[in-house]
Formats: sequence, C-alpha cells, structure tokens
Amino acid sequence: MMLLDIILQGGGAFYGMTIDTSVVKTIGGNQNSPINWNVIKNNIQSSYNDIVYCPAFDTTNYSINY
Amino acid sequence: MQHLKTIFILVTIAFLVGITSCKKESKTTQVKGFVIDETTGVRLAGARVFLTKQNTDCFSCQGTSIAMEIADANGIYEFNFEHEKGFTYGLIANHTNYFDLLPGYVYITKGEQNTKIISLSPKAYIRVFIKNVNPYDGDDAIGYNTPGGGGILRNDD
Repeated sequence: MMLLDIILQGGGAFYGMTIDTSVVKTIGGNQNSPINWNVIKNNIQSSYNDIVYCPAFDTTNYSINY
Repeated sequence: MQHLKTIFILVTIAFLVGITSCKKESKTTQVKGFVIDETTGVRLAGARVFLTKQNTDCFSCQGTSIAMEIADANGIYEFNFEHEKGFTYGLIANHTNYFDLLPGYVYITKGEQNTKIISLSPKAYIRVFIKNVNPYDGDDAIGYNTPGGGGILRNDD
C-alpha cells in the first residue's frame, strides 16, 4: 500500500527528517481498532499493522517510532 | 326507469366507498422502545430521539424532524402520531459521547405498534505519537491510517 493510498483512506502522511508529532482521531469505543502504517526509510518501504483496543470515552495512546 | 334507478344507487354506493377509502390517508401509529449502548447493552437515559418524516416520492429529500423525545431514566421513548399517506417515517437519535444514529436505519411501519431498540455506538479517541528516530534523512516518509469517522482533532507539528 503506497502512502497516497493511505491518505485517500482517511489517514495522513509526513515527510522529512524531523518528524515528532501526534494526531488524535475519533473512533468507535469498546472495540478493537486496526491501525496500519507504511514507512520509507533509507529508500526501503515497510508496512506494519496492529490492533488496538480502545475503551469508550477514553483516549488511547499509541506510539510509532520509525 | 327501474334500471336507471338501480344504476344511480350503484354509482352512489361506489362514490361513497371511494370517499371513505380516500379518507384513510393517515393512520394512528405508535413507536416505542429504548436506547442502548451498542457495546454494553446499557440503557441510555437522556438520549434524544427524533421522529422524522420524508416524502416517499422524493429520493433526494432529507427527512425533517417532526417530534423529539428525551429517553427517560430507563432509556425509554415513545411516539404516537398520524402516519400520513405518501410519507416515510423513521427515527434518528443522539447522545453525548456517542455517534449519532443517522437517517435511513430505523423505519416505522404504518398503523402498527412498532417496537424499536436503538443502538448507539460510544466514541473513543486514539492519539498516535509519530516520531522519526535516528538515523534519518530528508527522504524519509510515513503514512498512517486509523479507522473510524472524524478528522484529525489535533496535530502538533
């Protein structure tokens, strides 16, 4: 999946060296939510995905260091 | 002459039957039920339930809200209304910290006692920290995708 595809699905993308940021999204509570991301580093593209359980009315923190 | 009289009586009866059937354009309809949390089944007191009315022949029209009820302590609501011919009736609902129940999911059958359980999905938030760690260069990039509606609420660039 290319970065553009991810953006078109409602996600986002960041380019460059000094990326240190956070984004918050509203999702369904009390359920597992998939999260996936693509990284291009040293001209190598890698894909990752994970499932995060998000309790209702709460904010779940998730870190991606790449 | 006798034939004409018979025909006149028959036409009159047919006319009266027609008039009577035309008067049945609306019918008293009841809809009641309760509002629950979709994930826990807990009843939601204070949920706002709207009765909507939409012209059946108008596909592009949005339904208009004609009545509103606040669910009681047990999450129960009830509407009694005249179901007019040529209109579709439905329910929408909302509650703080829940996603809205949108039009088109709950319809009401004319002239009946409808029981509708409305399920609302609770909201949650996910905060994703994204960091490019050393070693890095200017060609690095990351694209991410998380589920659910709603946009980015905060972006600490």
